Formats: sequence, C-alpha cells, structure tokens
Amino acid sequence: MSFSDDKLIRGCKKGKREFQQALYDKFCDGMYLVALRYSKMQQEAEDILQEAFLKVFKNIGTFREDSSLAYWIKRIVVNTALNHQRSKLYLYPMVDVTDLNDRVVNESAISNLSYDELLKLVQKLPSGCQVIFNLFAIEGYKHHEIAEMLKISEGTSKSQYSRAKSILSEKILEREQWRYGSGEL
Amino acid sequence: MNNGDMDQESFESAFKSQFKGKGVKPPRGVWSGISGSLNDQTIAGLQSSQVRYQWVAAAAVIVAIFSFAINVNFSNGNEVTNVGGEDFNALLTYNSDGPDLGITGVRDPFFNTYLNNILFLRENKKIALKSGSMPALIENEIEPEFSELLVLNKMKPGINQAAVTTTFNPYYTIHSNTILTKKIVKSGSSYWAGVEAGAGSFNPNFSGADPINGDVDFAALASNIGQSGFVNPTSTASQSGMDPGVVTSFGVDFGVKLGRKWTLESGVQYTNVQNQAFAALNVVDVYTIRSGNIFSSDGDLSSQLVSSAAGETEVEENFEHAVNLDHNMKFTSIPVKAGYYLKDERLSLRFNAGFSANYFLSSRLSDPTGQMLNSESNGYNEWSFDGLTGFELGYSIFENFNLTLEPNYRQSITPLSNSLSNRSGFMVQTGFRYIIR
Repeated sequence: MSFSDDKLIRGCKKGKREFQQALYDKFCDGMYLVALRYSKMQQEAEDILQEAFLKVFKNIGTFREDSSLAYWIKRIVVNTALNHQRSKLYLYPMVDVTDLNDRVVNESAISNLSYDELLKLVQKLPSGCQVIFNLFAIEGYKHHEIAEMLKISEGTSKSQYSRAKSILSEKILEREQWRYGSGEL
Repeated sequence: MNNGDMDQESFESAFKSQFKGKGVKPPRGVWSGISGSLNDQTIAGLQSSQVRYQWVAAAAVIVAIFSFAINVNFSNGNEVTNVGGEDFNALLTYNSDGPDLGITGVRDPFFNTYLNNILFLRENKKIALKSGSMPALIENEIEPEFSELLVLNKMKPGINQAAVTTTFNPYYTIHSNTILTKKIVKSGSSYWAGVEAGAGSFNPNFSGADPINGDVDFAALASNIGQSGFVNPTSTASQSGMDPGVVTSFGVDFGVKLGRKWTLESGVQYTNVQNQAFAALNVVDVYTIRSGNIFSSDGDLSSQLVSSAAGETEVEENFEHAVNLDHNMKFTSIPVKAGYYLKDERLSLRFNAGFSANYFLSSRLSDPTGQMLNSESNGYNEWSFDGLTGFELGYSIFENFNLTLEPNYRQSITPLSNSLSNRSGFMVQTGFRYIIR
C-alpha cells in the first residue's frame, strides 16, 4: 500500500508500525545507495541505513512539513554516514595532496559506466577522498561547508577532492582502455 | 581539451546524473533490525509507563491504607454483645438464626449502597451481606444463605435500639468507597449542647482619653484636692488611663459536627471585665511671694520654678493628683467558630477559629476612695467584634458527655470605644457538653 508523504508522516508521528514500514519501503532503496556511497562494505552501509531510519522515526515529530521528506531523510542518512566515517578520518588524518594527475575523463566515459560500477569505484577511494567526493560531487556541498562539517581546512577539502577525482578518472580511463582493448566497444 | 578530458562541472554532473534516482534494495534484515529496535523502544516506553503506573498504584494503596487508618476505629479483639449505642467501623459476622432487628421496609436506604464488590442487602428484615455482586443484581438476588450482618458506624437510632443479643465477632474492612463514606458521614453527624465558663486576661491597650475622661468627675476631684487653696491656677490638665485586667465569662454553647472532622459552634456568653483605671489632675499655680521659704509647702507640691526679681519671687507650682479607679465592663458575646478535629477519639483535640460579636451591656467607673462619684459610661459602641482562635481539648467522661478545655486568644476587629480599639485577651474556657448523636 502506498501512502502520500503527509499520511506517512502523520502515521509515523503516531508511532504506527505500518506507516513506519511504508516510509522505509518508500525511501530505503535510494537511502541505501547513499549509505553505500559512504561505505566500504555492505555491512557498514546496512548499519548506517538502520541507524539512520531509527533516527528518522525518533525525530519525525521535528520534521517541518514545508520541506521535502526525501531531502530530510537523506540529510539524516548522510550525517549518520559521516558519523561512521569520522572515526576513520581521525585515524587517517587528511592532508593536502599535491602532484596529481590533472587528466579528467569525459562525460561519455562516465555515462558508459553503470551506477553500480561507479559505486564500486567510489567505494574503493580512500576514506577521506570518498567522503569529500560524495559531499562535493554528489551532495553538492561547497568546500567551505565540507571543511566546516569535517573540521578540516578548505584547502584539504579541495586537495582531497582533486585526489578523488584523479583516482576516479584514472580508474575510469583504465576501464575505457580495457573495453576498447577487448573490443567491447 | 584532450581526448577524454572534460571540464570539472561536467565531471560532477555526470557522476551526479548517474546516481540520480537510483537505488539499491537493502537486505530484508535491515528492516528487521529497525523493527526490532523500534519494538525495544516501545517496550522501554511501556516499561517506563508501567513504572509510572506502578507508582500510581502504590500511591493509591498508600492513600487507601491511610484512609483506612483514619476511618477505622480499631476495636479489634473485642466481642461485641450489644450494638445499641455503639459505633463500629467493621463488618460483623452474624448468625442467620439470630433475632429480627425489627427494621421495616424492604430495603433500608442506609444500606442500599455497596463497598467495592460487597453489597449490603436485607432479607426477611435482616441486614445481610453479599459478596461479589453488582448493585443492579441485588433487587432479585436475595439469597437465603446470607449469613453476615453489616454494622456500620453511626447506625440509625432505629437500628441501635434493636435488642440484639447475638454475639458479634468484628473484623475490619477498608472504607474506600466514597458513597459509603459519605453515607456514614451523613449518618455520623452529631450535635452537642453544653455550658462553659472561662477566665483569662484582658489587655485594653488603652490609647487616648475617651471615654474615661467623659466619665470622670474631674471637678469633684479638683474639689477634693482643695482647688480653692490655689493662689492663681493658670492651667488645669486631666489625664486618664486603663491597665490590663481579668475577664471572666460563662454561657451556653451548641455545635454541630459537619462531616468527620469539621465542626461549627456557637453560643451565648456573658462576659465580665474587671480592671484598674486611673484619673489624674494636674494644676499649675503661679503666684508671687516677697519673702519666705518657698519650699515650705507640703502636700502635693511636686516641682517649683523660682525666679527672682527685685526682692520678689515668682513661684510656679505643679500639682498632680491621681486616683485609682475600678473599671468594670460587661457585655454579651456570641461566638461563631469553625473547628477541625486534629484528633477525634476519647481524648480529642480540635482547632477552632472564628469571631465573636459582642453586645455592650454596661461599664462602670468607681472610686474606692470616695473622692469622685461613681459613673456609668455611655461612650462605648453597642456592637463590637473580635477574632478568636484556640485549641480545644475534649475528654469523653461518660457516653455522650464531654469535658472541654479551650485556651483561646481574642483580638478586636472593631473598636469597643475610641480608647479601646486594639484590645486583646487570652482566656481559658472549660465546659461540659452533652452529645446528641
């Protein structure tokens, strides 16, 4: 059974389990992909998703209905993922990166890959690069916002992003060359 | 741009568009985990609520026990052979073969109530007790095996007069039913009438000179101190005052017990106040002497002011003459007091507060020395009001007879006269009462 967002919110505010499950069903796929983008492993993404939805149900009463429910949930998922990654970021402090390959792949090269393949590439990025790439390229945050969120300098955010882009470009080009080489295209 | 190169914005847009609207189905276990956590939270919430309910239940039990403690007269252990005139807060077992209590009517309204699941019924003119039924069922469910009799406190006189000789074994119940409690309270109302007497102190807090000045015959006083002997009296001043004294009273009182704790009491008291007053006369006499010893005067010469001028001496003498007067005042008091029993047993303690309306009867000033004529005062207000408060100790010496002792304090609300606007008094009253149940 599908419910409108309004009904879902009202039902969840009353703590009704059927509405909670309906809300989860409606948003879980997209949010799981968000969690996967910030994770290295599936289990980690599942933990993030579970924790995030518990926060959603707990705090649904604070949701302002003039905003987008999907965006509100995504913010919670991203923040939960950042909390998970933050410990790793502390373990491996991010530093400015220089001497990067500035070659960037073209749009068609990216389009030729499925989101699943792109996801795997993103997941293989170093933790710091992965988080900043997601925040900047996918979520659309500015570097100064990312710097504030992760308590790093703006320069670190920029250099880490450049590193992520460089790594991804290199991997995408490798794939392209492999495809051309194997005569796939 | 090189082959494969692209501007930065296109790179991000390409990535973004690839992920846009996409999703991955999470394993079913995720929702199971969420659902399980939600259940745990719900249970925790319920447990929290349960704890609250447990506290509420505990509080209710405590209130019930407290109610029991203050409602039940603990007379356990005694076999009661006659309920006439006695008060019981207990259910009594009853031999169904016992005597007819002689109550007429199908059902007595007094017993037409229930305590929790216990109904009080009557069968064949006997008061019977049945457990576990609801009021709606009692009309046609009078069963012969009823074998218990209920005797509540403050039984109606008609019941008390029954010649019950059956042995009753009391046991207790909790009076938690408000309907029943109310009935008992209503039937437990009692009245009393009695006589009382009291004695105490009276503090006039005298201020000003009225009305005593009007009552004092200063001319007679001046005559008595030999005003004619003054050479040149330039001024005459009078002064009066009043000292604390003793108040006594006796009267009748009557009251009613309103509920279990509250009382309302009134009566009529004759009150007599006896205290000392005084009146003084000051005369300034100024005259001139040519020679002689100005200090040769005797009597009431109290001070001298001497000035010399060309062989003449001007003398100013101040004469002060005071007499003590007896003051007696009588009035009738109508006290109205509300009372609250702090302890209501054979020895009782009750807090009283209220007011007293005082009707002035008479006041008399008399001079024991005979220097002044005795006078009746007419400067008092006909009505005055006092506030009063006190604690009354009561002791039941016989059935329906109580002795009381009540220390109380009175403070004027309205003045008795202009000079007696702030009088107060402390009195101990004792009385003897007959309780009409």
